[in-house]
Amino acid sequence: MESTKEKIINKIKETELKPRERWQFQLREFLVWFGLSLIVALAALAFATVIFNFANADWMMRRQLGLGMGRFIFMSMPYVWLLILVGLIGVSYYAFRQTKNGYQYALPLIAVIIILLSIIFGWMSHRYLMSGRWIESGAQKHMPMYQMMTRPRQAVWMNPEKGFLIGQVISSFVDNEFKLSDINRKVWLVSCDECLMPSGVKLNERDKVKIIGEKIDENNFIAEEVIMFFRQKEMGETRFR
Amino acid sequence: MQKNDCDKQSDENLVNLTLKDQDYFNYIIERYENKLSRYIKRIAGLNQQDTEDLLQDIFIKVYQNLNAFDSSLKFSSWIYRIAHNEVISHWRKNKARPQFVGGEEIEGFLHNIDSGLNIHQDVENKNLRDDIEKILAELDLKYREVLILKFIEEKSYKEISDIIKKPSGTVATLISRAKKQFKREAGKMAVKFN
Repeated sequence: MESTKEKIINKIKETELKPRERWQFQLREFLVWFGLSLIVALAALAFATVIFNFANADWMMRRQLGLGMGRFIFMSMPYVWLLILVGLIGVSYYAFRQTKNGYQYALPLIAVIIILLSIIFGWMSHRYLMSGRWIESGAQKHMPMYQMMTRPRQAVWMNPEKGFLIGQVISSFVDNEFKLSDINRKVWLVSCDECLMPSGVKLNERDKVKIIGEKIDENNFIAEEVIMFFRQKEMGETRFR
Repeated sequence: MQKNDCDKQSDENLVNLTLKDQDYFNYIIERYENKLSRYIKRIAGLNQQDTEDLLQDIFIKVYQNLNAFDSSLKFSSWIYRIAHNEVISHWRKNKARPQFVGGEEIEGFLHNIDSGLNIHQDVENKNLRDDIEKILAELDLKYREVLILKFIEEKSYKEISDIIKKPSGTVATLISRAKKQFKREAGKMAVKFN
């Protein structure tokens, strides 16, 4: 009767089994590390967007908007990006554990390293590449679902009675006037005779803006200041129009 | 190379020799066949035929993955890792009760799990062996596997970490919790160790 050893050797010979090539294992390891790097890079970009959102949260306007600090922070928090960031950190951890020696390291250590890398690279990409701005801008333009999710944050600006409007420009800027569709899709005629606007900025259709001014009636609004949705700090100081 | 010379070769050398000439795989099988066979029974409690079938699958997998073996790891840990994964996978499908192979295993196991226990019982006593097998069967799999690796296979924390692919700290915690659960289950079943 065949011993177990003989059965194994015979099976190897009969099926002409060969050991898998070393490069296959090396390739797998490379792909895991590549995937991990990609996920950490995405986490960094998510963090950059979180920084951008906090930096552009209109902190100076908080009192004028009539909001306490706690409520303002609660409403300004970029929950979507924070959730994405946490999810990506979780996936990074899992990917790291798939590396050859990843199992040797405890969860807290891996998590801390991944979080630190996300923060460092996230901050650098926000500072030097403005990546947070581009991602937020792209999401606002091209993802209706994201626009819906960020409406509550934008809604703090939707208070015409107190002189705050937010929406999208839906006409050309002619004779110091333009039409605005607010976030409730109501159309306003906005007059901008003596309003502050970012220097060098030409208002175009489909631009998203926040306006401080005065409501005249249900359809008319006088703007004192027009703020572009994505702060144009890099374009110079604001000027009197 | 003569058989005597092969017996003196390290596991790592045998791997390198096998990669050049598959006949050297015989020596790896000889070295680990009995150990892995007993390990399969301890975790999965299979009958002889099923144990042999699973053993074949394990060694085939070992052969196919020889180029994945990295000498930074002990070969015994690496081969146990493959065996462990196959056995757990098989056990999850069948959930059979673990078995001990011999009485000396029970004495060693009980002594190692709590050196305060003073064994006077006849460790060949079938009832005692049945009791311990029942207790082990009641444990969570993650606790059973570390108890068997630590106190019967007598693996170090590092080796267990390499086999089950968890950090050493986690292994230590699992063993500590496993011992507590073992004693708790023994208490529930009113099994007494003198």
